[in-house]
Amino acid sequence: MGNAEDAKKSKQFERVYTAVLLLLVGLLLLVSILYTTHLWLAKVAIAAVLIGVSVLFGHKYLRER
Amino acid sequence: MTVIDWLLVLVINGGIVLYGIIVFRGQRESFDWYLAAKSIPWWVVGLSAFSTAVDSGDYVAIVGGSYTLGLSQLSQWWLGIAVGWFVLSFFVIVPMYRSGVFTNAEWLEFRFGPAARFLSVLINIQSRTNVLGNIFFSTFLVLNIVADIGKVWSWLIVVSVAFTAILYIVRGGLKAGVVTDALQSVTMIVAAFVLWGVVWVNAGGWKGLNQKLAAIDASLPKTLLHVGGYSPPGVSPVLVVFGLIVVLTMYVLINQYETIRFLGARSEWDFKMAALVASLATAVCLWFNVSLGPLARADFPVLEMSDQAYPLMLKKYLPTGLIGLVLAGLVAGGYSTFDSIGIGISSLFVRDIYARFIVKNGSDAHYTRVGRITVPFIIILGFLYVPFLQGGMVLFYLRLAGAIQVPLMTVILMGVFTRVHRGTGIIGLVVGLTYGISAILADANDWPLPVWYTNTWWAYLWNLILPIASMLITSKVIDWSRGPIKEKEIKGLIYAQHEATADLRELMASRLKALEGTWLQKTLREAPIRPKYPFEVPDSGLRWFRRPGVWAIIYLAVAGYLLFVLLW
Repeated sequence: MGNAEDAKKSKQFERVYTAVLLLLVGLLLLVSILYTTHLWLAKVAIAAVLIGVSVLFGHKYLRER
Repeated sequence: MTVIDWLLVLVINGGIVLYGIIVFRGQRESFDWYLAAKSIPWWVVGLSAFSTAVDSGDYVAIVGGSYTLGLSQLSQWWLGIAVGWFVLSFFVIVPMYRSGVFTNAEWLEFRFGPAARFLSVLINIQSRTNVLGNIFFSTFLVLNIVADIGKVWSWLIVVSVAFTAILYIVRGGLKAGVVTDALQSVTMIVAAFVLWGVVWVNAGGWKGLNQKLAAIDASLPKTLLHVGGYSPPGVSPVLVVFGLIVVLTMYVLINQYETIRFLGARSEWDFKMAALVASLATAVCLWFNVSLGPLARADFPVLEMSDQAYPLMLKKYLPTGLIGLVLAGLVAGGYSTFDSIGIGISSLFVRDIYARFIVKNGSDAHYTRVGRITVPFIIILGFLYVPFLQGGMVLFYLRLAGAIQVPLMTVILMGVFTRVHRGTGIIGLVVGLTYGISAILADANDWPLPVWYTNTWWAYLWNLILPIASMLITSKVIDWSRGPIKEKEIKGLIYAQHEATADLRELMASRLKALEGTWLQKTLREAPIRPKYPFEVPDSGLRWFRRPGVWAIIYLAVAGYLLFVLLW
């Protein structure tokens, strides 16, 4: 029982950690457009994927909390 | 580089490092620290094997290498390394996994005696610290050229990256290394794709690249854009490609830091599937990196050092934000290899030198502690290579690898696939090393010897032929004097499709008198036995898509077609 509980907690931690990390990277990429608009579309595309995956992990975390 | 770029590098890599430090703690038993309790699933092992094989040195050095060698380098990354992973996981690793050893050198002693074990450790240390030197130097080049950071500060950053990698590997052992590797591999592939995509579009694709190269020199497209295009005087392109394939097959087969990942898999099926994942990830990532070489040649036809090509392209093509992302991938490549070399060489030192010859009866916790302490010293050794890397990292590595590491691969393969006598291993190693070192000396000192003796590429061929021939001849001589090798001498040490693992463990533990009562013997006896499959196998057998062998054949056929037909 203890092990199962630990495994669940560790999974939850992994999800929220990944969600926050990906969100941060995505936001940093978007902010970088303020420095230069060169290749902005590429930055938006990569940021969209990262934020999308982050939302997925965040949603899973909140649902199972 | 702007603050945003630095933040990206810091958030991505700091995030992964911190994750490794927080999550993987308390690996106190040696079985957990060195082998992750043999619990790792196939896709993690595969991604980790890929990110271990490809480091920041490769990002810079491969582009620098293909700046001169062109697409011929694809042969090693699409085929050579894949052949290595498939041969390792389908054959070589099988007796090691079942017999309960922690290192490939340990298996070598059972098969060929203590001298082979000792030499193997030395060769592994030489080759991996050489790679560490490549990573240090390439990261330095990127920081110095791309980020315009002064030399002293660039080196300080390189040193701090190396030592933060030590932090999580010392705490979490193999598991921390493998899981962070898997995360780092995603960053690495994205980084490779981003730079390649931007440069490729700017060059006008394949057609534009052809035209740009032809404008510099009419023969360049043929040399750089064909797998069989590159060959130095006196060497055929086939021999070059053969050498390139052997170099990475050898890389996988001899290196403990690759072997240990597969030994950490949770079943035999897992390490076989891992070979496919590793091959696919490498093929995708390295297409981007290798083809960047000719693209760089089109842009910068004259460079002081070919290894400057990658950082220069980064600087020319990528804006703020994307530079940070690509640099983060490069640093991730460095981390994933630092940690792998740390744990791999540490396991070799502790199992094969320290516990075998120095302190034999310590407690389990003692050997784990020594393993942790060893890691920083291994990383420091890499810095000794830096002064020798100015002439191009790939060429320096290829020279040493053909001369020194190929004999070890040949001896391992002979040990797994043939029934040669135990005493032949050291003969094969000594013959191969003697030839290899004499070829390097002859080349460096311009001794009046033919190209087929001294040239780097020929060394790959001779270091297969000479050790094989010497081992077969010696074995035959022993056959005549003492009779053929006895079954019990090689049981469990050569490849067999099926074997009763429990019986094997007892046989292994009692095989060498020198191990009597030692920690090494205890771990051989007590290490848990893992199953062949991580799931129930139906009576009708596995469906085709769950069979690693089917995927291996498909992969090799596609890679072979692309290399030898489409791109040759």
